[in-house]
Amino acid sequence: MDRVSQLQDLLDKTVQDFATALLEIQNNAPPVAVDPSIPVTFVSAEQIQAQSEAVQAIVQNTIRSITTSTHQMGLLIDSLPGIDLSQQDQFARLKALDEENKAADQALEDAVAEANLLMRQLQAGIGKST
Amino acid sequence: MATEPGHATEVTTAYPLPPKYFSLYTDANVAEFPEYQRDRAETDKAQDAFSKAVTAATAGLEDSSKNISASAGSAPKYLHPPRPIEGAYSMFGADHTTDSKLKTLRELGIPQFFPDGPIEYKPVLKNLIQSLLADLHKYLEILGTRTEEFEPQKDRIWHLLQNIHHVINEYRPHQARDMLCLVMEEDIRKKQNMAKLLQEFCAQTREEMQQAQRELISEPDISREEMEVDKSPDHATDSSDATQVSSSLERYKQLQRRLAEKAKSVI
Repeated sequence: MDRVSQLQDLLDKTVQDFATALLEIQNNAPPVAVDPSIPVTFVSAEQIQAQSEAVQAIVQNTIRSITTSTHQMGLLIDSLPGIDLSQQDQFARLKALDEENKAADQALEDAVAEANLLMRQLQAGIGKST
Repeated sequence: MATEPGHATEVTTAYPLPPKYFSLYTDANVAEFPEYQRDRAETDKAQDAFSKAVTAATAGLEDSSKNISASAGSAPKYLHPPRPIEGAYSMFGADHTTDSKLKTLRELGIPQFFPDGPIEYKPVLKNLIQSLLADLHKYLEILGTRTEEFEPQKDRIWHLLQNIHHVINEYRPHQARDMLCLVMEEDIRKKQNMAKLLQEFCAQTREEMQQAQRELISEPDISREEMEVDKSPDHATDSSDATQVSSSLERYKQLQRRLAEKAKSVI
């Protein structure tokens, strides 16, 4: 996949990870008593502790993932093809390459013509010898 | 089938019906088409007549094939394909346009967070990504403490994402030009290599040919009968001279074969 598409996918993945983490935190959040006089009793203290630890783990993983993605996005941006060239520089480079291409075509045509001439000389030489 | 926008489709089906002028494509008409194609003067008139006939046919006339034939003359003229549509058109119930240029954010009604005109992609992209991270952090704060600001912050993050994607999409022509430069450089390098190899081989072949010529010139003048190799032991000495001459010829022929093979591999 080209770097530009990789950058777009990484950006989408970063935001997707963030949204997924929010959803998981919401689902795993331990219940909180609405009224101090009505404590939460349907879950035990150990379960609440486990849920809190799970939420902490989700947070840590998400932070690590987003930090890594951001760093990778920075690297991808720095290595985008032609990132250091302006549009005018690119057009100038294309023009120069076009001239070079024409010269290379001419050189190849000349070499082929030389080879054909040599072939005819060889054939003539063989014809005279026989 | 593409129609003018605003025209109602005749039948709502999962797949569109074939166009009514398909009945014109008989074997006899198709056989006459090459002769028609040679007459270029009638091409434009036929196309305009065809467009009108197609519009009339799709408007729901009963006997459309007869009307198409009657409206402009001989049937083969309608076998010329219609002109490509330009601008807006409707297909499978949806409106499209032939203009595939990337629309600006303002045209799409999205606030733009970078300056107009030519931009430097690297700093703009990095700034936008940093803004996105800051806004994600602020979003968390709002979710925890100021939930009434949830909607505007969510919209801002959405607009930021669209801005970043838009800048990346605007970068694609730049990427395509860079790729074109790389492809052209590779192409030029290959051509230069091929020309160089061919020139070197020609120089080598010329050298060997001249060597073979010199050997032939320095050989004694031998008649045709003497050139025939006699395998009997009495003629062993004479046969060695003839063998030398034929070996020079063989070298010539070998040079020719090698040159032909090299030329084929290069071309």
